[in-house]
Amino acid sequence: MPLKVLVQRFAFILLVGATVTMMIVDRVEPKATERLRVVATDITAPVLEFFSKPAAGIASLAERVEIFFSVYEENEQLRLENERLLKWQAVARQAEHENVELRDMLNVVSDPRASFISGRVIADSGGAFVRTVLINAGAGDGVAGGQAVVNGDGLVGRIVEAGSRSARVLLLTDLNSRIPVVIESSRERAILLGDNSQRAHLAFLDDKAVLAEGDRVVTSGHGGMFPPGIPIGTVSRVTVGGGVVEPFADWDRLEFVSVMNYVVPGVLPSPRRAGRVEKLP
Amino acid sequence: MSPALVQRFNLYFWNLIPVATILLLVFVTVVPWRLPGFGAITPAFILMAVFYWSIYRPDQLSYVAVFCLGTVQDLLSGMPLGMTPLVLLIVQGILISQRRFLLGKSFFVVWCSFMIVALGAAILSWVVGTVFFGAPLAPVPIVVQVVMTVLLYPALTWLFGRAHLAMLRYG
Repeated sequence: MPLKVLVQRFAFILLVGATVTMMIVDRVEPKATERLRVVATDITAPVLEFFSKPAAGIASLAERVEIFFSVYEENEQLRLENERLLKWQAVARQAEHENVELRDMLNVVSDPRASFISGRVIADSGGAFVRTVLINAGAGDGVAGGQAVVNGDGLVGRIVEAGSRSARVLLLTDLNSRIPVVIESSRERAILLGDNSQRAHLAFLDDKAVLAEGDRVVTSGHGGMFPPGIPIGTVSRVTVGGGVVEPFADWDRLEFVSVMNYVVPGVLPSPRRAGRVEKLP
Repeated sequence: MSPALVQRFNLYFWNLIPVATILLLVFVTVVPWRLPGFGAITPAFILMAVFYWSIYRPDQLSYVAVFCLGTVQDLLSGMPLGMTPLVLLIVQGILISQRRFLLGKSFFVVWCSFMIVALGAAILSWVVGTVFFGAPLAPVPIVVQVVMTVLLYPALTWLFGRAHLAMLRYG
């Protein structure tokens, strides 16, 4: 066997070994690889931003062509929706007014207000194995791990890694996504699980909970990570012990998202905690 | 610069084409295209490139290069670190040992072989991903990805062929 072939075979085995080692490290010690990912995405963020602009152009062109063919039906649909929404607006105004008065009477502690940081989606994981996106806002803009990410439709996901000028969002449909939710009408609690598809699943529902198709699912705010009441989606199918949720967010058109900076009073962010923070569980 | 040096530099430049195409495709893969109905699933572009160059120019695409490019893709896309290079290296290893069979065969035969390779790579990725996450991955998005990848292969091959021709002409 010539030396060159031998060297190549050795390199092959060595590199395959390296990939397996990398995966084990990534699984056992994700903190170690997170640093590497953050550095890589921070370095490439300007390049990705450059590439994502023409891509967004093509996407909006395709969308325009699509809209051109459906403009009449859409117009009709919007007119009906507008009529319905005007009625709802009257109801909402009245309810809001009543709500303020009742809160005043009861001295309710108001929920902390969340501030927003908005960013553009500059990269997408491709979707078959993981469902994450990169945005062009990072720790320099106030983005930190765990924050909720929303767009005009509703909840999109949460921040998992924050570099100085880019951050990774774990979409709520990712296999690793777990979000405490509540069914809006029945106030039943559940956990929303992703499975890498376009939809998400409800789990840990109470045995006696009654679930119906079309029920709205919103964040519950349990755990103090997300503000309560962010719309997520509607139940599209009821299964044994759970249901399938069709998210409001349109995964094909995720262009700009907002990161919610929400701090529950009494739960200080870790750098401001007194004492030996590292020793805390 | 002496003409010999210019020529050498020129050769280096053109020999970088396989690596450069893959690097470009890494960016193409992670860019958010948002095509209606695309469902945020992107075809496995770099698998096509590794397939093509492993058959036609294995001398200009080393295992180390594939390892590095696959790792970059994992870092940018948020995949389990090492998953893409592992699958790509195994594909490249198999192709280098089988390339004699594919060289000079009709495009249809090569396309069919690519289909088998893409399917095998998807199954391998599914197994690796399932072991990594400790939960079975949803198969539908992966099947969609394989179909998209196989259907797009002829178009990408045409582009690789142009690049390959330029390499042979000017390199």
